[in-house]
Amino acid sequence: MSRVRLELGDGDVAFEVERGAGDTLVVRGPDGVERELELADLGGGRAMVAIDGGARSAVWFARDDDVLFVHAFGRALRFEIAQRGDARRKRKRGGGGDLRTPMPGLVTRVLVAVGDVVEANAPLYGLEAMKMESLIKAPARVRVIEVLAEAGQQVDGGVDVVRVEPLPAEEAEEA
Amino acid sequence: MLKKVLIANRGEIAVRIARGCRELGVATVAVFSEVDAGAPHTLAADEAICIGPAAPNESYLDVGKLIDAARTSGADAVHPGYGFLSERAAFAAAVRDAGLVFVGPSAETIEALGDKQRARALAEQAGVPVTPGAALEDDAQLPELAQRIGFPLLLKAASGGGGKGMRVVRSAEGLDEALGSARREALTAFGDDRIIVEKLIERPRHVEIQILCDQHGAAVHLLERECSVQRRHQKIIEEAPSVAVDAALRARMGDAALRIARAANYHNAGTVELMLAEDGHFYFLEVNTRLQVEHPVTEAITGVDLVHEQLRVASGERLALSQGDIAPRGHAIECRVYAEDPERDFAPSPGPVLALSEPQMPGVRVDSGIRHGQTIPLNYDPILAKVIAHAPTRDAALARARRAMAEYVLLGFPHNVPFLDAVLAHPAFVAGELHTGFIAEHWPDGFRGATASERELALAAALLDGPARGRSAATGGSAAGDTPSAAPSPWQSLGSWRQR
Repeated sequence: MSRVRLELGDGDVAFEVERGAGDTLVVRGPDGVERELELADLGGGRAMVAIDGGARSAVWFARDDDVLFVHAFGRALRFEIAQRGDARRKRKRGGGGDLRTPMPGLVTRVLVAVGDVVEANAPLYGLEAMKMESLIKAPARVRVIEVLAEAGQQVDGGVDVVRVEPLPAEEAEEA
Repeated sequence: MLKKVLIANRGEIAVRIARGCRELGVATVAVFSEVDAGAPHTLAADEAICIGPAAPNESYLDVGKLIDAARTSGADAVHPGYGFLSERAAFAAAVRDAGLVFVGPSAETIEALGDKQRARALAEQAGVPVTPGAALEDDAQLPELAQRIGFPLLLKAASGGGGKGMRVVRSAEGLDEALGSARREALTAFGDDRIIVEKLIERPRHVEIQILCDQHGAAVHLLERECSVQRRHQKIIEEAPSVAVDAALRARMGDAALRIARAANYHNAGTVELMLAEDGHFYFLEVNTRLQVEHPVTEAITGVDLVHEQLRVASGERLALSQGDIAPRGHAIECRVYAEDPERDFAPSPGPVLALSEPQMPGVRVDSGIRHGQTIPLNYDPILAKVIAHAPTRDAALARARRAMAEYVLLGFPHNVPFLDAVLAHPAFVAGELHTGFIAEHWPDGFRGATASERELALAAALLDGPARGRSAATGGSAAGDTPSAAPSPWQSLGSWRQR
């Protein structure tokens, strides 16, 4: 038996997966609800699935590193598979939101300097990618603690351009 | 008729133009940048010429390389598609100066209509209403000008289009930031940072008229398209006809469009964009001097192939169509598929095409520029494909479009198909209650895709345990039934996973 945690909205939910009879898999949800799945891999990213002995339906799937893409029951779904202690999770817990570049691009401008205190939604820097400039904004009232790139610089996706720290409530009120 | 056309573009539109040429027996030449060596448009033409690195300035926007490619290949004409150099007068002039035919209006017409101020003046002279506004000659004037016109305002690039370099400003505080950002975007996109300040008409519909004019003075319009569903001022769903346009209004709009066309000495296909206010008045927006992304909805309801007509007009032929021949037949809806994440404010989200299956059904046309195995380059516009549903009624077209969205399978990166489907399903869209702020009104906090059901989660778990195990980019691979039960379960190394 193996155990998985799914992060769904407010928190994690535990799922258990084990082999059932024949080729089936039993997936046990957080409420103890069990689903028995029969899954036939057709190759080329296609499979047939039957859940709890119900009708078989065709699904598409593709795996890219820590992401699983599935097209099933008429819609597309994307599952992110995070490692324990994943940087993103840590960042999320630490608050302050994710200010990293959403994709590779050109830093068009940096609108803050180290030490600046800015309000929620204040623009921090601009990033141009696919002919579009996006402004990356402060998730809350924050102080800028580091600026790592300058205007005109080409950057990768997922890197920090500006680092900030959330301001304690009392300090926020003074400032 | 032209003999051989160089298509100075990429993606779905280049594929579509190649098809149109071939149907008329015209040979085609594709151009491609190094990242597009295996792209569908490169494969769609009779021959293909590499014109340089991925950066648009060194390939698709390099006039010299394109002219050289046309000469080398023996092409007698250049089709610019949309975007890139399609509305640069200098390009049209360079093509002409090289002794080649430019499939579009003259350089002079492009220049006159490409400059928003001149286009406005031309519309006014032609008796077509324009919104109050003025060019910003000096940044210091902005506060005063803004005061005079009144908020809310629209700042837009003088030589812009497609929503680039365009900003809405609701109060004086937002002016500086909006101006800076509009200018920068305008400069990058068009090489010109002049800005126009305009009164913003609230809740307008975007309605546009397709025009087609030959070089002998004949001109027809091919009815309207409604393109009100926009994000970042860029259209994502278009339809024809518009539910807000009756025969009388259609005639007046068509008339206005043709007056502008005549005033601009227009030839070839073009689009006069209008803003339709809630009170039924319409205002001139701009003229797009090229084929539009959304031209297929017009083709669907009129039965006219616009690329064919473009090629005929460019060859010097007379229009075979007269206005009386053109009547709407049924209803068509186009959905634009983009490599953008609707859950992250439509930020571009290019990636590898790990699986692709586009809808194939009666009444549905797919103009696609992607293929399985391709990696979507991040150097260009994120448009991937267009799905056009045509049926006798709007309801039937809508049902077809929804079916097509459900069958559009594209795996490998976030894209906007789930959002397109959500728009099609929205009661206000179904009722035809559209305006250009439709998305902002109905998704004020952004779009959140449906969360996975318990069944879907169980399926994901089963896939990860079986055919989708392993971390490399792969679409299945293992044959049915060979899942080794003795292998260590991936769950032990996975730790946790999350769904978004």
